[in-house]
Amino acid sequence: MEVVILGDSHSVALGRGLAQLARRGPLPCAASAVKLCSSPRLLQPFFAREPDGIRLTDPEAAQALTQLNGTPVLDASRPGRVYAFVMGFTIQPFTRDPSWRRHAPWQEARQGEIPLSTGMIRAAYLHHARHILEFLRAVAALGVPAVVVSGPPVRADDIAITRNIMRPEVALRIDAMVRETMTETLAGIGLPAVLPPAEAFEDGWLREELREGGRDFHHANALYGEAMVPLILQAGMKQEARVSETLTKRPD
Amino acid sequence: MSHPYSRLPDRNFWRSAVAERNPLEWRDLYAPKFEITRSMRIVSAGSCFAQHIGRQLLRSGFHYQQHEKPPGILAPEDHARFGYGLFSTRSGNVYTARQLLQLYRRATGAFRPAEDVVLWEGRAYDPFRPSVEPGGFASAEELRHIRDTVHFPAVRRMFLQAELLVFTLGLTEAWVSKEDGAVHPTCPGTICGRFDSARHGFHNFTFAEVMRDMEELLAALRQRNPALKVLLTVSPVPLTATAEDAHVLVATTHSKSVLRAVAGELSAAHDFVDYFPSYEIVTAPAMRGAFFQPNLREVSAAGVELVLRHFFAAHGGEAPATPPPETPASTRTRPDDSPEGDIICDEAKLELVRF
Repeated sequence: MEVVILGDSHSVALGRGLAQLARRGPLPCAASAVKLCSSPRLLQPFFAREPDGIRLTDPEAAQALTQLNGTPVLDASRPGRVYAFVMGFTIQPFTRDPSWRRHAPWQEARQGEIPLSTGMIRAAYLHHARHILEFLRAVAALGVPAVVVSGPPVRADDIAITRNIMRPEVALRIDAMVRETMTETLAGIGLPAVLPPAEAFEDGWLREELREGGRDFHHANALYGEAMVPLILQAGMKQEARVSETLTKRPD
Repeated sequence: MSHPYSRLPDRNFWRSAVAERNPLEWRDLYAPKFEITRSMRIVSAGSCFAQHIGRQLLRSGFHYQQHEKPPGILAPEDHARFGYGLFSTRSGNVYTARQLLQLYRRATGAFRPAEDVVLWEGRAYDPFRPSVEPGGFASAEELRHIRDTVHFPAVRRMFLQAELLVFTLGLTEAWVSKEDGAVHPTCPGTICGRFDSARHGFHNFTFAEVMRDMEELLAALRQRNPALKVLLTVSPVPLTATAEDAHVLVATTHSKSVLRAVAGELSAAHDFVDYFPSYEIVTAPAMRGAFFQPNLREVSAAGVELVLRHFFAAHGGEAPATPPPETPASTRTRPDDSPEGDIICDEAKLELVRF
């Protein structure tokens, strides 16, 4: 079997981590990683359902999938392949909305800020990620074995914080809330979520040594990828077994 | 021959004003007692039908105030679902005069109902505005925090800063707490929680009670906000169901008659209270029910348009010409020919629980 990691820009760190692991020794299954496109492109319509598959309509994503599969259409014709979609957990640009200057989750709201309920923030995020969720529903309906990979924990130097759009404790709260909301929603769709391991967190933030360097204030690095990839492969193999079992039990 | 009727204008005679005139061309139905200007701070509360008035006032350039505004992160199609943009606060539907009085008393700390949270299926609901948070709040603590730090201050601002309060009286029938008389917008158990006959009782407010509640509210409001004017309307929407031992049609006529009489009485008694005849415009026999949806309850888009045309003809501004773009429906009651935008109507849930 084979696990293909593909999705937004967080796929890059996972790909680098995968390469490092592969250099060190054999992996439990074949694996590859491809960046489809940047996360903002997935917040707009980026696919179309077709009778036997899902056509990626975003040019960048379609090109990346074509390079991988020879077609921009994702279908169930590759037995033994599991897709690990890296999408839906990226809290930017949600956290960069200027309304966070005046609003906060009710647990964190200070005097002068308008407290928001958990339900309202969840509803806002689910709308924000609606195209991604629609895509993942289509994937599940297609019967393609798939898991969904979370983005890394939010970084303490995230632009939303350094530009004073939101306070650090608000960013942490939103990050955790989004991870929980997406995990629950994906469970309802029948797709398991692969979350960052506990070691990736330090006081809720992405550990400093797992941050991508330079002028990047958002992504994790290859070391983070190394920590995540085994979890992704494990979840992928489990999901493949589960889907195969379901197909075997299905009456003709 | 001379008598008091001989010099009256056409509008005073049924034949010339109603029977022989196209109802779409009726005139002088509404002679405002006071001017409503575009600079006036206008707020609204009331039953489902009141949602149309506030929305159109805003669109027509009047200074319609919303004291609870949605955060930028919330999608516009979710605003109504979370109780935004329907009234001046996230009050939900306020059907009875007692409910409006209670809203004021709760917001000013004069009344604290014993049962202020309903815990149901792991979620916390505000029994006095059960629909403003779809699926309920995460906890009683969350509910109380947001109610006390956002909603109640907004309600106080609404009442105390307004220059005009538009209130649509909707119902006389209500469900009240047997413990402290707290009145619910809809029967407990229809949206959340369970109905408990030991704790909840039915009450049909009488003319005298509705008058007393309205007089108490008006006195309290005018004491703290002497410039406030009030425009009353009566919702033309019939009862979804009655809890009286009566036919729903008879109960509807009774309820609307009481409310219409109270509105007239208050308007006659106070120079700062006026009545706008939306009820008459929609329900008049000459209309032959044309402005109701096929369920003969909900008012059609054309009915709302006609009502607003009369309002804006008297006060300037534009009546709705075309319905705005559709937004996705979810739990809203909005049939195909319904008026613009989403209308949230808790009372309509009574129909759903029957089957």
